[in-house]
Amino acid sequence: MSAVLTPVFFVTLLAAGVRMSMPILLAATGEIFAERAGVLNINLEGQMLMGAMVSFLVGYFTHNMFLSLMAGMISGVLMALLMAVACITWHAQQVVVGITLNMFALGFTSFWYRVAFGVTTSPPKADLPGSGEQAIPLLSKIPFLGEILFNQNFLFYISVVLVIVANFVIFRTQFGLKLRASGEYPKAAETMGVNVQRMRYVSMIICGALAGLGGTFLSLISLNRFVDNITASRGFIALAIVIFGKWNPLLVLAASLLFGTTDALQLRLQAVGVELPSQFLLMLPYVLTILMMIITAKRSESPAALAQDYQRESI
Amino acid sequence: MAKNSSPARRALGQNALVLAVSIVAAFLVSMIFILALGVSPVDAFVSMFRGALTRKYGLAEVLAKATPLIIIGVGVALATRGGMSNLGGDGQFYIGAICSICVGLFLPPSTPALVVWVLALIVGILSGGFWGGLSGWLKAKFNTSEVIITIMLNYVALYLMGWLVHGPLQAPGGIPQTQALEKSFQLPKIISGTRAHAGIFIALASALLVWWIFKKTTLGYRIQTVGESPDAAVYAGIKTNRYMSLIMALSGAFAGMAGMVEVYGVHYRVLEGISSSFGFTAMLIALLAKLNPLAVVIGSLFISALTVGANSMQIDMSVPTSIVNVVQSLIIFFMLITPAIKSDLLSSISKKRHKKEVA
Repeated sequence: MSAVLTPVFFVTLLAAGVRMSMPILLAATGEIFAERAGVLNINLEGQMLMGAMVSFLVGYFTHNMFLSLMAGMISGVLMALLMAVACITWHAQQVVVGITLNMFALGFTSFWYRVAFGVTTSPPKADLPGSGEQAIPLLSKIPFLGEILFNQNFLFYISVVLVIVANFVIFRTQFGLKLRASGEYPKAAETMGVNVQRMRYVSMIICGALAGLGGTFLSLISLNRFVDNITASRGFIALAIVIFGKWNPLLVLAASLLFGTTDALQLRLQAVGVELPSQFLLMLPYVLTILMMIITAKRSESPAALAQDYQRESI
Repeated sequence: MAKNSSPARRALGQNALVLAVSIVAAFLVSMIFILALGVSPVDAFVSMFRGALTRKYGLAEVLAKATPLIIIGVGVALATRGGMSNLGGDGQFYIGAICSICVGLFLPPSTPALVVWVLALIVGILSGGFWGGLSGWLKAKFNTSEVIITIMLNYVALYLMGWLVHGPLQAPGGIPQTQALEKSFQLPKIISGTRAHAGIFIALASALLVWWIFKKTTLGYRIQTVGESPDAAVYAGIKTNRYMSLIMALSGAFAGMAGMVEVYGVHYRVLEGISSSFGFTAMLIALLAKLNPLAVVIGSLFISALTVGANSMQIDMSVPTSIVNVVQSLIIFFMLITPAIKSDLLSSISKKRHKKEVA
């Protein structure tokens, strides 16, 4: 047990925690946009999965990080658009469509991965240039903090900036106001000249891009490979984190870090060889999510028109 | 359409039409997948059909695969009618499987098989019901989303089962699985030399039971009211909070029962990977069946036939079996959007006509 309680252990734990939290953070930030506009995007998992698989394929065959990132985002957006067309234009039920498209994503990714690589016992690695850590000069030399926050992958720095930008856009811009109005009181928004359906489309595109990027982070940077159902319900954990973080990107950032650290903790403890069956450690992130939901769900105030279809009244 | 046809009959006809269009559309899209592999879709579908429906083995396999799907599916349909999305079928199945096998493992081999089966069934129902009811209770008490909770509980159940088959319940020999059931405790086969077993009758009985609950009982009526108009339910004096727990417990009970049936009918032991996302597939089947328990039976047979056919397609043409997930999700996707597209088309046509008339 003495190996556990050292400063080095904590630094590596927190650094890993920060890394682990990124895919969920990106997806959750995307989901804030969707839900603030009134779309309960249960398909988040599918969008992450698509991003993870497509970016991995592109990365494996082109060895180009930029192309892979783009591919990951675009595939997330396409998945989100499929959901948007069904729910916004054709008024199908959001939860049902989300569940259905999750299964589609699971089949689609597994199908094409198998076509590309066949049945393998050792999944190939992408080893993209830039998938390791990039230390920021000077800052990374700060004791403890430097190792945790400034010796990460470049996508981590971008993600943090994205979250801050998202917070600004949602709460401080005209666009954000229209977005929130579409999710709180679409009828009123429409009379004020907001095109609710268009706002919902835009929010779904943003959400798909961020979820796709989250999936990309998972397959190309965190794990360096793709396996079937690689996301393992991280999309649903992100949904829980959005509630926990009260639809606020900065709070969601904090919640994701807490979550990522738990995930890292269970991996570390397994590596150190704690005398607890590994299954109980593996359970930890999911149990934490349930506890999180129990603590916050009662007081949480979701956007008033969340998951409600909006139909323009015909004139 | 004949003028004297009743509205109900017309609705049925329309549903059938939508279903047919959706199935055709889904197959057309998956044909593109198959073509992209350089395989002739016709050959692929012939291999699929042959594998599932022309041999005794294939047909038996369809029955065996449909059994757990029917049982979980009618439970999911019941929950969805009650306004709850039960995505925890897998977790409830695992819990039911692991608890019910203990009955067979710990009773003396001389116990009459019927006693073992009934006890195991009850244990499966209670344990699955507990696991499902948990998420309903949490929703009633803490307002948590049952979608997220059921999915999280799937993982808790998965790892709980993993720990048991790696640890306390592991059979000697190093493989992560429990000991096998006594031969006399295994459910009888209905077609010898195959995996089709008597559990299919339990599945059919479950479907009839749920059909009867909704057709004839106040319980069914109340569940339906809670699902369709919770406010009216409160007004009618139904304790909706209590019903949330009850609905999820009933739904979970079916999944737990499926766990028992699968263990006693097919595997005779519990091992990792005993469910291949039955819960999600059952959810899709319930949607496909429009929440009608009898249609769930047909839907399960259909999806199982696709799965068995896809296996032979993978062997013959190396088309990955995951194509089944693509096909079944697309069928439902098209089912969900077809009515809207149709009404859009109709209204645009009538608008054009209107314009012409005005002009």
